[in-house]
Amino acid sequence: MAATIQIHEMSALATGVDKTSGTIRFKDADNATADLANALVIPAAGSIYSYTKKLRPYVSVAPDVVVDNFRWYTDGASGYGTGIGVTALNLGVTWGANYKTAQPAGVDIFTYVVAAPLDGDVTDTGPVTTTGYHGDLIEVQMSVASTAGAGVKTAETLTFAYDEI
Amino acid sequence: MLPSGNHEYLDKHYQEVVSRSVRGPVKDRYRWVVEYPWGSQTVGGNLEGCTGFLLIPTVGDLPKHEVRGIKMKRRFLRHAVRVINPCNKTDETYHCVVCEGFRLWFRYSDGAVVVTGEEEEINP
Repeated sequence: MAATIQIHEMSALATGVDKTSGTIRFKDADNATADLANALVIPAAGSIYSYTKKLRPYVSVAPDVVVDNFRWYTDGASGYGTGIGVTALNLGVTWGANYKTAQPAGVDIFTYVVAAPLDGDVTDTGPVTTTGYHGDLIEVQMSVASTAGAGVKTAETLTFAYDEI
Repeated sequence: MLPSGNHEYLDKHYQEVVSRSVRGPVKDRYRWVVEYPWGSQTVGGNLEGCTGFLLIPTVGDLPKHEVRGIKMKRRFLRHAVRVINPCNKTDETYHCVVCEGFRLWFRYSDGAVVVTGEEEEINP
């Protein structure tokens, strides 16, 4: 049987909740609950930022041989509309508390596409043979500018891909 | 999350939920076997010297695939797992068999086969 890798939203380097095929909700609170509480409020001027989110692959069923080549990508087109952005950053395996100031050195997540994905195993390199957390922490954050439109936005998809032997 | 009353979204979501519950995870819809003159095996990536590669569906409505008579080099699985919007794009798995001069990519969601150049990649 093929390995099973879940995508976890992390609350520590090796503690998280399964969000595979689930929803990561950007909000003005540091929790993994996908609800309408603590919604991001459009500012009168400038931009505000969600609390950062950290994602990491969790191998729940080990491969027969190995899994490797972890990468993350989007479809390259943001459907969030004017004034709303999402940035991403590979943190390696250095955990830090989530924060709601602008992510330093964050890159527009929609620039990460199939042909040019965000590398997911730069620090915690494969190949992976065992269960548990493997690969790097990926930190994501949403920004909302004063020009953004109000309302619940259409969700976007982030893909985690890997190879297995 | 989408506004309520979006019937197209709900219909697509319902179909995917039904599909997953009936057919199981995409990555488990096939099992594979490599045949050698001396027997067969179901572990490993090297196909040198094999006489056949079989992909056998674990659910009833997918085609079986059998590769014979060509020189095969190696095999691997390529998985894509989605997060944030599970109903926009679904999980996918390709089983790649690298042959001399080309690659065969077997798509687990529907059993389709794609042929590419030997160095070409498919990313679900």
